[in-house]
Amino acid sequence: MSSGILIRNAGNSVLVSDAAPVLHFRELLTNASQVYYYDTYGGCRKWAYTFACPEFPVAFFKLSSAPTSILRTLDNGNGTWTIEVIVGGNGAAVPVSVPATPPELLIFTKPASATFGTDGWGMEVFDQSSNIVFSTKGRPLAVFGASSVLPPVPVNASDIYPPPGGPEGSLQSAYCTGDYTHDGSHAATMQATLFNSTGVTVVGSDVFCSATAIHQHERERGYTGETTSGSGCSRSTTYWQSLYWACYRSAVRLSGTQIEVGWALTEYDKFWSSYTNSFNGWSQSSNSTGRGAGGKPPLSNETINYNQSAMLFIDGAKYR
Amino acid sequence: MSEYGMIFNRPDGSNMYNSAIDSWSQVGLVYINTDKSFAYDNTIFTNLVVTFWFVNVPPTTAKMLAPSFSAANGTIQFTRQGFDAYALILGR
Repeated sequence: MSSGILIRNAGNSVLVSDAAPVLHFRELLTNASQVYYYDTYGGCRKWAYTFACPEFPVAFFKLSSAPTSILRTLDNGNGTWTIEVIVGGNGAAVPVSVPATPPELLIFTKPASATFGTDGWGMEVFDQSSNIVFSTKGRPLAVFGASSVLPPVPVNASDIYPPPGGPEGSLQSAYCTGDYTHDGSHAATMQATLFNSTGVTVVGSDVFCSATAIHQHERERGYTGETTSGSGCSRSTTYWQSLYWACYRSAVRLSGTQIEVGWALTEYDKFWSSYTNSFNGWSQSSNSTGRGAGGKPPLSNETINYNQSAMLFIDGAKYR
Repeated sequence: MSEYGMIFNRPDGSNMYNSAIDSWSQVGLVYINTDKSFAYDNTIFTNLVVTFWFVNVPPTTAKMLAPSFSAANGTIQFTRQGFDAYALILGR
């Protein structure tokens, strides 16, 4: 660098450089609209924050004991943005309940759109085009921790037996009707109870995190069977399939002084289908009738984007 | 408290920035709407982290492939994969 400014700390880390605009604080969001709430499989809430910002906003949410992450950012096209956040829960031995209020959100953006004070003193750094890249009149993003993490290895759901809603020995697609907690082992494994440590040491008691829910995971359990009615030369057999499924995204939580990454439920549902094959022995004919299906089919039974992903941590007290 | 470095305080004395704690700097914010590369000074930044923000991607009921990236010799190469995203690059 032949001009400008470059400040390093004792660890040779770059603190301020005119070559790298620093994101600055814009606003604290406390209000959000609830998109949905589920109480099955530990539960989850999806929140939507809509706000104005001339440039791309980078969001940090307040950490709590409930796993939380940023689902996506929507550019509404009129200078406003919507950020969707998911908060999950689980019914582990020490259950995690889903908070009823949205997590606070800190918004950062480029200095030109940040919130600056009117102090006549401090330090400002400009780039060669006279754009502000750092200013103590604003509140620069100060990241105390960054960690590349993976959520725990996904687990498979366990069998449901006897079938939800149906008496033992009479499995039918018609019984796939929504008792998601009928069997203890099934309900437990459909809940996201496992977490990995991020290795980040907590600074302060007001920790905010920026973590995008990149990792996606689905668990499902399917059952097939058949039942026959009639006998001899006039009988019919019904073949059926029932499928319970749930989708999850990676999410971060605070557990004591540890920051952990796990999964948060985002969607769940069930799907069933059947058809009946009738046989007539007198005419030696058979035909398939009575096809039926219902519920909502799953995506695909897989885990995608299962690669290391970075998460950033800041002390929220600096921005209140 | 480090014996040297940089500390900014607010008028009320509360801390805004402390170089002993806040050790990650922003290297760049890149909009990935196609495969693209981003150059950075690897003599200054020897350790990088990259976070992705998805923009206008499908709802949670659909698959969403994240961009991939690799860094070598002062260049980060991003592969879009299928959806637009912002990449925030921090370094130290």
